[in-house]
Amino acid sequence: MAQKKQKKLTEEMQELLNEIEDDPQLQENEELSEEEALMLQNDMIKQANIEERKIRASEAERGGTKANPGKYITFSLAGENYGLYILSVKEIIGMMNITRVPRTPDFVRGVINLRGKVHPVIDLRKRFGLEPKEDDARTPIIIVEISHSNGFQHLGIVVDSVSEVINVEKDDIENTPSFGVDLETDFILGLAKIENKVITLLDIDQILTSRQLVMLKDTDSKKK
Amino acid sequence: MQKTTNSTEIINEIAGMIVMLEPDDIQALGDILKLLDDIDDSGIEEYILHVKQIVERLILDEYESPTVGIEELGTAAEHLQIALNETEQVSEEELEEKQGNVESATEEDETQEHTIKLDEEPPSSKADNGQQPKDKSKDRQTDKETAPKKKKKKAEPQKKSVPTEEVSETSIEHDGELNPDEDEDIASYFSQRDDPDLIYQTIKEDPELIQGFLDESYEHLQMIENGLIDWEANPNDLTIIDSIFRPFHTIKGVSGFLNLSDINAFSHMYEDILDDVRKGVLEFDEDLSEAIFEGVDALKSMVNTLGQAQEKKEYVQHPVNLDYFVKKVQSIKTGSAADASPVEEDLDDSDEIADEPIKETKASKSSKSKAKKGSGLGGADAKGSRAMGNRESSLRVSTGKMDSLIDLVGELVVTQNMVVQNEEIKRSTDKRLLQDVGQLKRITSNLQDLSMSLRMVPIKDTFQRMHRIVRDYSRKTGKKIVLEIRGEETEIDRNMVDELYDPLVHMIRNNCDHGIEKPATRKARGKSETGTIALNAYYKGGMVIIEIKDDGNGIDTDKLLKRAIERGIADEGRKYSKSEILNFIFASGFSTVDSVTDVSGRGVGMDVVKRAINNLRGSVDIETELGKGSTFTLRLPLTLAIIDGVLVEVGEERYIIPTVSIKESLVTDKSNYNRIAGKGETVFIRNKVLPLIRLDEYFQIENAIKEPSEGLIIIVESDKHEAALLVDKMIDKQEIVIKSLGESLSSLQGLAGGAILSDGSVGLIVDIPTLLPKTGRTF
Repeated sequence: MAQKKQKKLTEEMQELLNEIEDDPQLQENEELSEEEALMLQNDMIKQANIEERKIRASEAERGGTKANPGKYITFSLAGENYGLYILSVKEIIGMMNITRVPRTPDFVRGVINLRGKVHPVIDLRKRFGLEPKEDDARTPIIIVEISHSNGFQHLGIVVDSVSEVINVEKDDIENTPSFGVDLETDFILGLAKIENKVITLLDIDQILTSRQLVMLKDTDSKKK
Repeated sequence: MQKTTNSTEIINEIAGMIVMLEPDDIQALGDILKLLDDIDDSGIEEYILHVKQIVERLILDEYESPTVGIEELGTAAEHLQIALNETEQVSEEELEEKQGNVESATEEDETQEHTIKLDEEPPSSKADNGQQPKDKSKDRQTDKETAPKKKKKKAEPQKKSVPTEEVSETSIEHDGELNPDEDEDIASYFSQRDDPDLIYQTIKEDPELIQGFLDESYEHLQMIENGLIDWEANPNDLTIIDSIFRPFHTIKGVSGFLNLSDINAFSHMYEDILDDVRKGVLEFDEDLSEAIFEGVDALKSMVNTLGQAQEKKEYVQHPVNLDYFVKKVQSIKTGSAADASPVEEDLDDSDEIADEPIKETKASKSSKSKAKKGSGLGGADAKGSRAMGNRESSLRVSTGKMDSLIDLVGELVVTQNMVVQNEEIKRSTDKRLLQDVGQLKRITSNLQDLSMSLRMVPIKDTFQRMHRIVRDYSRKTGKKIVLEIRGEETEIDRNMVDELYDPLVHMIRNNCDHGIEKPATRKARGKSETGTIALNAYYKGGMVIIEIKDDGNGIDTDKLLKRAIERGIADEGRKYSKSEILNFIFASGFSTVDSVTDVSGRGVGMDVVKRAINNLRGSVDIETELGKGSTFTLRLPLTLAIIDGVLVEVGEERYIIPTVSIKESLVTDKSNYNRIAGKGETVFIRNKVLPLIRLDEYFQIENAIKEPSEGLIIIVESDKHEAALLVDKMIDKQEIVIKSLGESLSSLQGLAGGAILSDGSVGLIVDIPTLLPKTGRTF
């Protein structure tokens, strides 16, 4: 009953989103459409979050190192598609004033003020060693929750654009291919093939553990 | 003896005033307080304090009705008289003899006697206090003297069996009741019943522990109820049992530690049932659930009673008929009908075995407990009584939620500022709009003050704990010391309370040990044999001031200087001012007393105190007069969350430098700048050569001013090291709320945190201490 209702709501939301995107008046007023789009995206995430949580509650604990079926939020980075497990995504915000933090590795963009709390922001392009790209008004920051030894922390990651929430079935998942020794593949949970698109499913904890931040910082400062 | 007689006169006068006292005569109450201050006597401070507290409560109109307060005051005054009489008539040697006698007497007898005394104490006997019965007074005195000893004896083995750490662990122990044969003997859990004396002692000495237990218990009982309701909906979900088992287990553990034997045994009993369910011995059904609910209600009633006892500061017998529950639990465990054969008639010889599970007593005469009367605790009645007790005076909120609230209010202030600064609004002539903006500003600022005050707690608890320190010390050493506390309503940052405790204990012990002289010495110097340590807290100039003042020996600065020279801390040839010499106390590894005592000289010195206070961004000062005493003054910020900072610009970036670290800022001349090849750069300011730290280089900032004479030099200081910091310019001085940068950036060097600036962006706070030592020490 509730699921049906949710499904209906999600569909309605998607329709609304499409409508807004198509609406010429709104497209003219870019600022408004951005905010609206963000709000809708966040509503979608919330919805998917609730659904996923319900499904997961009845299942056993998810394994950490392998990709599991479930809802993923997809985003693009230098033309590639990536997926983040929905429960680790808190919200999506628009680009805002980032304060640079000295003595950090270059992929740490700095810190932002999100509703009175200070969160670090990471540039995923730089983290993956991709070509940097200028921010524009539509560049999103995905706020994710990562776990570390003392609990959880919220962190922002800058990506090119957020696409949608997808449902990854068990059959869609393929294991991480081996790229040879040099390539860092720890943070890849697996690959999902959906509608002829390949989506790399990421393990956010592996990409951005605090341990790595600190270690990288140390080697960084030693160089100097 | 002279003083004592004086005290007797004063107390008689007070007693007379109490008899004549009108409830609303604040003038008279004030006079009583003044008179109480004049009583100068050892051994009865506790009684005086008690009377004072009652008078203060009367003045503040905290009693339900003033007559209750006056009655209590009469009783307290009577106690005071008795106690004073006792110190007058019985010398210390005699007292000790008596202690021995009483100790050898059977404990049951004494407990019994004490219970009766407490219960039957006529609160109205205030008129006939001139001539109190002698024997009664002696009993009271000895009771008081022996009780702590007894407590130690009993408490220790229990502490071992249930240490506090264990309680907080998530792992659940079974305490050896895995053998089902042992399970049958539930009644044996109650072999040790509540000892009114012990509980009274705990209530009196560790009120904060009891309060913690009360708060926790209400939470745990709520958890149990929630769990049970959950469980009733999903009877097959065994994971829920844990969420019910654990709270019982914790209550059991903590109550055992606090000598609350009844609560301890009671929760143990229900923990057993749940364990049986978990092991599959028992099956969960509605009857069982109802039985556990009933148990929870009884437990709640016991906890409530404890709360009352805590308020009244005396032991109150809880109204729960334990036999009823033992029988019930036994019948559940054996699977027979509820009215199983009675067990252990002698379980509680003073209580009659009644049919109703919770007896009505004077203490719990409320409509709520009336509803509980009768055997039918189940059904609608019980559901009603399951609601929490009357504890609406305070509310426990998770710190996470509170921090979020405070963060959001901070954001609101920023946004409000931006609205006010908006050019459109500034230009506007709309009266209504301007009015509304003004109103918004006021409300926001009120809200900010309020949210900040949420972090604050009275210093009372911390101060009260010092009584124990002083008492233990004077017992151990035979010095007579009174601790006077003032300003305990002064509020400090919640996070500061814990940080402050250790330094305070250390300083109080120091005063006891080094300050207050032995009674004989004091007498020879013409002082009262009893030394006084006054602990005082108040606000001054936006700071919290804590004074620790003793009327003891004072500090011998000559001796101090000699010692400092011996230790190589001071230069022999130099002349030092008094305050400079006194500051040597805070140097590490410094101690003026030759023998290391187990009280204060345990390897940690005043340097530790100083560091702890500095960490709280506070300072310590000493004033002393040889032979008269010394005063230690702590100056602490109101809150740890807010600091004064100076916003500086370097290149295109802005940083905050805490004002406490700044000595001065100035523009210097080119000629003062010097570069030492391979070593670094210096500036020469006010006859001092200071190392130059370029903030832009340290933080890798681009486009900053490179030429020292063109930028601004800020002289910063930390722990005696000074340095000159080169920045572009100073923008603003403001109060800022410190924010953590999060776990992953917390170990960053040179930064102490972040702060939200007035434009809503994040500013980084420069951590001066980590900036300095590297370069600061080379010069």
